[in-house]
Amino acid sequence: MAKKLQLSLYRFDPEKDERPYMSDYEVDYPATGNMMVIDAIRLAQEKDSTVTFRRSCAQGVCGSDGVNMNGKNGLACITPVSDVITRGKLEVRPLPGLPVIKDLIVDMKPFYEQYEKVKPFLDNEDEVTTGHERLQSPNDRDKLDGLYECVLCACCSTSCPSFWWNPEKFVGPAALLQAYRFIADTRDNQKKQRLKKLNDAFSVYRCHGIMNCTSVCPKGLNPSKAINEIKKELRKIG
Amino acid sequence: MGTFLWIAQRVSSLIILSYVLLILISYFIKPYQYDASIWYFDIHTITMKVFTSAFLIVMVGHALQGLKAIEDDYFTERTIGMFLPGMSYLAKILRYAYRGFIVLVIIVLTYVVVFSYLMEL
Repeated sequence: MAKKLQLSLYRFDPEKDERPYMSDYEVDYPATGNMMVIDAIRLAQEKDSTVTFRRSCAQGVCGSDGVNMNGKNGLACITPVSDVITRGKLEVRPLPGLPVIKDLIVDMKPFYEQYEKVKPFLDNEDEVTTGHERLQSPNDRDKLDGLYECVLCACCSTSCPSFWWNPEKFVGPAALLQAYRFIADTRDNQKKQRLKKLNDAFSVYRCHGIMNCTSVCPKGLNPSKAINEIKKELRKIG
Repeated sequence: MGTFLWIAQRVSSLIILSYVLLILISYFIKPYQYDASIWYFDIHTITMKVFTSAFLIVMVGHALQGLKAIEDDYFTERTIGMFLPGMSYLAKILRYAYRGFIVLVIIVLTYVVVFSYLMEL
């Protein structure tokens, strides 16, 4: 026998609506097992085909279905309803701090612009001297664990108040995690330039260490630690 | 600049802490509560005047950084528009009013410290 889940979805179509509003749906919630939040949204969509959301792989790999569930950011496809439900109710909103395109879909442009700023690629113009690849010791490679796995879902950056208030100036946890991924990479030889670019009052130092980013990361990464490592490196270069 | 400001904020907080501790410890080891003239004498020594002046300058610098962060975060079109929809045009006015208030506080503080305390007029 299925239980009922009270699902409340954020609705806003800038072409039609003057203001956003919440729509309530009652969806079946399997008593025997569990279901992911994305499944609940899809059940609501079966009742109302105008409900709009973004998803692709539905396995926590593409990072396209980041939403805010009962106040906490996460990927709807890998978040069980039981983890976020409160008194039989689940409220799903778009990621905070980014412009809403429609319903649960946000415009990721401000987020990607910050990502672009940190040059998320190996930058090394020196010639490769051994074979075809730039070699790295296993120890140096280990330093990249926990840095490269980011799926760019924006859950962390959009849970950060500093990013809400200054999305043009503060780089944000996701992009800073990527910045440190290349600062820590021994194959990259632009460490100093990368750090100099971040050495202003906003890019890194706007992070006050509240660790929202770390607590919401659906991949279990720790952007807060990476930001602290960048700060340490910045102090070394003065 | 970012690193400099970050370090300055932390160093200044240590100076502020040391001053506050000095005042607190003095309060507990000296009988200020029974004889205010002892307090008056202690606070008006040259050493204390220098230390207090340094503390006030550092505190103003420390506070200005924090106040600037508040301005950058909350007195913007985006934030005002979020809290007061349709009123984002007020951001600029509020920003200038906020700056004016801070300047006023600094002027009053400087006046009180320089004339009433340092010069004892």
